[in-house]
Parts: sequence; structure tokens; C-alpha cells
Amino acid sequence: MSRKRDRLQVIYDILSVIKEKNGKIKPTHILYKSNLSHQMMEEYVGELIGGGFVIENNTASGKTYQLTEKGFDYLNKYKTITDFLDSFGLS
Amino acid sequence: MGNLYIIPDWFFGYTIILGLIFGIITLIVGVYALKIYKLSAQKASKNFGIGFIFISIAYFIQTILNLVLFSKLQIQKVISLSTFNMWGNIGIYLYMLFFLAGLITLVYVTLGVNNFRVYSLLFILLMGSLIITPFKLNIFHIFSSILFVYIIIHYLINYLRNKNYKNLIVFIAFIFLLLSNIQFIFSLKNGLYYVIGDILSFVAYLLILINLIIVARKK
Repeated sequence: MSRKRDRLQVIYDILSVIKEKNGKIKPTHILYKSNLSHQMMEEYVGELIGGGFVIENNTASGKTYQLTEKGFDYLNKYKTITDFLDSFGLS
Repeated sequence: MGNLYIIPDWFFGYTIILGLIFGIITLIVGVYALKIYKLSAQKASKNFGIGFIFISIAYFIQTILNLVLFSKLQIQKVISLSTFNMWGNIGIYLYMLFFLAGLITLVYVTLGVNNFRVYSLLFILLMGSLIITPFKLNIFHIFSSILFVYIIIHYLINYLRNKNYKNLIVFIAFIFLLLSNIQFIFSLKNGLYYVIGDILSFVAYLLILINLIIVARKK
């Protein structure tokens, strides 16, 4: 498995964890479920927010992350994305 | 060798249709790659899409050029740069420019180097050489062949790393594109090679389209 494939898989895992929690999750849950270091998780989540896959909500009870439509799209089309990137040597 | 393509009389209509088909297929692949970029934010997919769109533009320019020639030069079957009028010259230069730009972009993607200076260096060196040489078509096909070799090496590695039929299809497709490009070099002397080159290109793009359909149909 290549590095980028791993990266795509990690993104998939994080988004899946958020989806499992009905599309909203606290950062500690992501950390626990995605099996990443705190720094890595921050990096990935930052990237996901920047890419429009996730939005951050600041509430009285703390920070939560929510899947956007693009995030749901990524999960639904993950197989197509990886198949395309793999077969055209882009992963 | 001069700057001449020799296209057999009976094949001129077919080459226009094939050029249009190549343009459509490469456009579909390019647009799909950009769609994948939109979904995944993978920069390689964006650059790959841009590369294919460049190649697509080249084919559309070639098709328009051939259509104009077909209508204007019904009797003349030997197409020479020196006999072109200004419009024809611009057309073929644009075709070479976009096709090479597409291949340079694909090579840049397959090299996995995320540095725009590398891309611009490749671009300036190849385009600069093409502009100053008097043997433009020969040099264009030689440069294209070299770029195809680098792309093929990438797809060979990709296939060896993950041996599945989809990776094999893409690898074979690019081998066909290299072979067709070599045929076009010889077609500067004999029209039969042009026919073989176009047929090989057709098989190559068909394989790429088949792979895309297989990937896109999976849910």
C-alpha cells in the first residue's frame, strides 16, 4: 500500500467515525476511534476542514466536528476514488 | 526528414473522425479526473485531469485543422508546414503545443514531484527546442516518445506494485500510445504508418475509456 493510499484511508476512517456518530463528533472521540496521535489528528482534521469535508462547531459543551455534503460524498464514492487513483497510478 | 505527414487519400475522412473520438475520450478522462479531485482534494488527480484536457484540446485543434484541409485541399494529400497558410501553421503549432503540454503535465504527475520549477523547466526546455528547430514534426514526435517512455515506466512500476487487470489495461494503453507515436515519425515518409499510428491510438484510447468505465461503474 502506498503512502497516499494510506492517507486516503485515514481520511476515510476519520469521516467514517464522524458518520457513525450521526455526523457529529467531539475531537476526543476522533482521536480514540481513528487511532492517530493528537498531532496527526489535528493535521488531518485541519486538512478536512480546509477541504470542505468537515465543519467545526464551537458550542457551550465544547468543540464538535460535523460532516458536510462533500464529506458524505467522499465516503459514498471512496471506492471509485481509490480505484481511479490506483489504476491511473495517481496514488 | 522533412516536416511532412503523408496521409493516404482514402484515410483522410477516417482520421478526422478518429481525431474527434480521441478528443472526446481524453476530454471525458480529464473531466472525470477533475471530478475525482473535487471529491478527494488529491492534487495529482487535478494535474492528471489538466494533462488530459490539454491533450483533448490538441486533438480538437487537429480535427478542425484536418476538416479545413479536407475541404480546401481535396486533391493534395501531402500536408507540408511550408505550404500551409498562416491559419494552418497556427493550427499545427497549437496542436503540438497542447499535446506536448499534456504529456509534460502527465510526466510531471507520474514523477510525483511537487515543485512547479521542475514543471516549468520541462516546459521551457521542450517548447523552446521545438520552436527553434526546423524539423518541428520530427522533434515533436521524438519528444513525445521520450515523454511516453517515462509515463510507461511509471505505469509498469504501478502494475508491478499492484498486479490487477485495471493497472495492466492502463499500462498497455500507454504502450500503444508510444507505438502509435513512433508510427507517426515514420509516417513522415510513408502514409501507411500514419494509418497504423491512428489505429494504435484508437486501441489505446479505447483501453483507457474501458478502464474509466470499469472504475466509474463500481459503487
